[in-house]
Amino acid sequence: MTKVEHLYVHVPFCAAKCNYCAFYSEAGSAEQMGAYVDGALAELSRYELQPRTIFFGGGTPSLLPATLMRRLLEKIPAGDVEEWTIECNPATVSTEKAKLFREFGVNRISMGVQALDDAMLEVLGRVHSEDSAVRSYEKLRAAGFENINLDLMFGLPGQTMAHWQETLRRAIALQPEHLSTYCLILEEDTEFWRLFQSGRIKPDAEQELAMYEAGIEMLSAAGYRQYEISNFAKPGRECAHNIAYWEGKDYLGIGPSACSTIGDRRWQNSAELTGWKPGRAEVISQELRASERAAFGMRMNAGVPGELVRGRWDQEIAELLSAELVQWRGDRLQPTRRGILFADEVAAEFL
Amino acid sequence: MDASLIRNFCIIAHIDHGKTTLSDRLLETTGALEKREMRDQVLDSMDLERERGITIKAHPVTMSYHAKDGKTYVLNLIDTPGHVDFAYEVSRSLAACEGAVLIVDAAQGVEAQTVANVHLATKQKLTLVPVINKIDLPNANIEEARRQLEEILAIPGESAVLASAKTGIGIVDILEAVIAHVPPPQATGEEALQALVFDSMFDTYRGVVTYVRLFAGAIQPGMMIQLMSSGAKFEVKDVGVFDPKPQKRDRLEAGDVGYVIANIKSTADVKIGETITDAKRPASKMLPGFQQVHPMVFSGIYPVNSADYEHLKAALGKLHLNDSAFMYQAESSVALGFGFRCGFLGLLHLEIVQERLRRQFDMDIIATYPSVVYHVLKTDGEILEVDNPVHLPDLSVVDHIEEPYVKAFIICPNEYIGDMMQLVMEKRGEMKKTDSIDSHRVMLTAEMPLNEIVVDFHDKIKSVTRGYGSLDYEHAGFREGDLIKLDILVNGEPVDAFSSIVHRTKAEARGRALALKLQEVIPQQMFQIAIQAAIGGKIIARETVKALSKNVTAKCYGGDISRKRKLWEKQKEGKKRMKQVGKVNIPQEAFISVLKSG
Repeated sequence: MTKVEHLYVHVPFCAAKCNYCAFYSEAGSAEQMGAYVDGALAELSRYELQPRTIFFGGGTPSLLPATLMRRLLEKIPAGDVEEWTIECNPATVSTEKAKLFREFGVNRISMGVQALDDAMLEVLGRVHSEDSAVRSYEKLRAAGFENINLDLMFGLPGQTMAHWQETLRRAIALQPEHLSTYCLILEEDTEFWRLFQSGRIKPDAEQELAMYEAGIEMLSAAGYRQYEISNFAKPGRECAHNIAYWEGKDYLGIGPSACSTIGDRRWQNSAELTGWKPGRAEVISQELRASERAAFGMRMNAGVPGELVRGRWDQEIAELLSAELVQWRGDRLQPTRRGILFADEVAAEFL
Repeated sequence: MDASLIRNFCIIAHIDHGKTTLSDRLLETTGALEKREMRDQVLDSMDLERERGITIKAHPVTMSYHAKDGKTYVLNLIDTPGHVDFAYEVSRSLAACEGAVLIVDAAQGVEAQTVANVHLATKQKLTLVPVINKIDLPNANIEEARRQLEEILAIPGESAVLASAKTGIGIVDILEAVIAHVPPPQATGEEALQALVFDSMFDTYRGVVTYVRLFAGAIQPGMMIQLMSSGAKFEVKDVGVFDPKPQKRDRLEAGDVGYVIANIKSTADVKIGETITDAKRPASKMLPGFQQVHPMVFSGIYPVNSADYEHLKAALGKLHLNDSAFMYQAESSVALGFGFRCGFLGLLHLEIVQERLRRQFDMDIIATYPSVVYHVLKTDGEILEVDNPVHLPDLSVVDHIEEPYVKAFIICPNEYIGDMMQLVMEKRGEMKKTDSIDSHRVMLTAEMPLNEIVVDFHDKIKSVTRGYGSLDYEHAGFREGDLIKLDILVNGEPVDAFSSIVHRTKAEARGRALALKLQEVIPQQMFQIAIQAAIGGKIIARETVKALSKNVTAKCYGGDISRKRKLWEKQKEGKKRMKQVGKVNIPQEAFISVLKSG
């Protein structure tokens, strides 16, 4: 097995399903959670790993009871780890768990606050309140976390520009190292999708654009550098794990529904709480991986090195240049501000 | 062969009145074919033709029949194309016969195509053998059908043979009536070979197979023949008849119907209506009625992917080999790149060719809005034939423009007569007369501009009359019209493929409708798109496709990569299938919807 430097662990439990979420998750009894940890450990034991980055996503990883979490963390080969992130829901952060994470070397927290406004949190179907989000954040700081991300959402039903700007202001006031802003996407199998289908919510592209741009303005003024379509960080605090995805590095996903890409194979585990199995692998040729590296790389402000795209996509690049969607900076091809807005148009050219 | 024992005839009928079933039944009764062989062997037609209830190319069939008078007759059944687009080909097939079996559906009665076909047959002085078919249907009304034969077509109703091709009733009666009433071939007074070419087809192995009716002389392998109109000479390789499989014969003689294979390379070299004669001892004159067929409807056909140009060219060449009425020549369009200007006998012919390109040759094509041929009379006395709006000269040098007219026969139930007349009026038609056909149907005769009926007139008749109306027409010369060119501009650039020549009174409404339609089908792009309709330099309508404000700015992590990539691949594939005009990508649907909007 090649040495995989990026490990993802999917923890599929959520206290409740949010109205926008199509990720695989279950409420989960104590028994099911135990069985899940057994399964994850068994799966981990099949690989020899020395990851540089680890990401526990979900679901809600912080939902696992402390004893089970300890069993899982103990077996993570974290000797060489540089960045280890755990996603937390503001409602399930306790000082005890924060200390437990620190004990094992977790050094980054990603908190899905989504909104800092109780009315909006209710719209989203979140189980926490603004107040609990702020308290959780403080607990994490108190436990010694120096690298925290907050996820925020815009384009929500009933959300006005004023709401969004207030959420951004409150988030900035907390001074996290990293912020992700996501536009609401209506995905099938979500409560919002049903509301959309019945005509009760209606996306407004103009408003979404205005909110997105307001986010870029405010965050940049507050010292956060945009480094990817949805991601902003204080210098040096960019998420190394996610950058690895966009740069087309190999990664291993553990747990139900987790996806892995290693060498010329990509597969996804089945979405079952116990006994999940890897699905049929998709063959990703070298050529296709190069395409993906270019397409996903161009979603980052830093773009891609010229050697990756020169020769193969000269005509496409010429067209993108004339449409002012990309620009050369030194030997890197980078998206322009417009190219960031039309990332799909840019990406499609490299396939 | 004693010519007095030969009968050459065809079957004429409105669509669905039972022509194909009756042909099959005649072949079966005369023992020409087993029942189960029928469909594949006889029809020899493509799905497309079957779907549309028409057969364009079926070869003549020679049957042998022991009649009640004890003699054995040779019956040659000549197929005729079932649609008005092929009126000239129909007239040549009729010219090869002495008689025609006229089928009228006992439940439907006389229809528009019945009338048009009877007109053609009467012009050719054919003896008609009327047959009232489908008498087994519960709603058959034989007396009414007889009355309509008499009153509308002036054919004695009592003489009609009652039949049901489906159940086999009356088939022998029809055969006996053909022998009794259709005259045997008559001598023309010529000694030298005179053979009428009424159809031809291209066979990959044998080259062009020409279908002929001999009026005088004889033809045999080894003989040098000459085409009297073109002057071209060929050596005969084979002659024979279809029974219905091809059977070689030593020779064909006056009165016979069969095929001739000579070293002819393309069906275009032996035009329908030509007279074949003996090159060494030519006949003194041609058989009457030969015409050069001129396409009436034109459309540009372009490959969606410009890389397919050569492939399209090869496909058009193959179609032309077997369909000399279909013309094509290279042209180029600013919007669509390199393609072909294609000429057709009518709209159905156009549709058939397009469908064949798509289905048989698997071509992705874009067809431009169909145009008729206009006679443009310039102030300097020059007369231009213009079949492409792009070539219409500046109106300052045009004295006037003439457009082709047709005489249209429309039959519809009484209750729709008001709507029908209004439709005719909307299409700039002029009502000539109204005849009552029976207690519930009328026939409207109207003179109408061809360009008003090429696109959707037939569909409109069907929708106005809930499917009960029928239409047929014949060409009726050219007339002056107040015609102008309507342009469509996309972001200020005229898109030649969207231009059309329209009557001044129609221009504004059409311009508005087109702009609106295009606004619906052109997808949002990264910039605003203005769609304008213009006459001369004057903008008469404007619609805007708003700029796409942004793509979705969403999460995109390890589990999303394949899904996202597939989305982009699909997006790129979709873009490839669009035509780029300036910076604007125009989907195929846009071209099609322009085609569909009357």
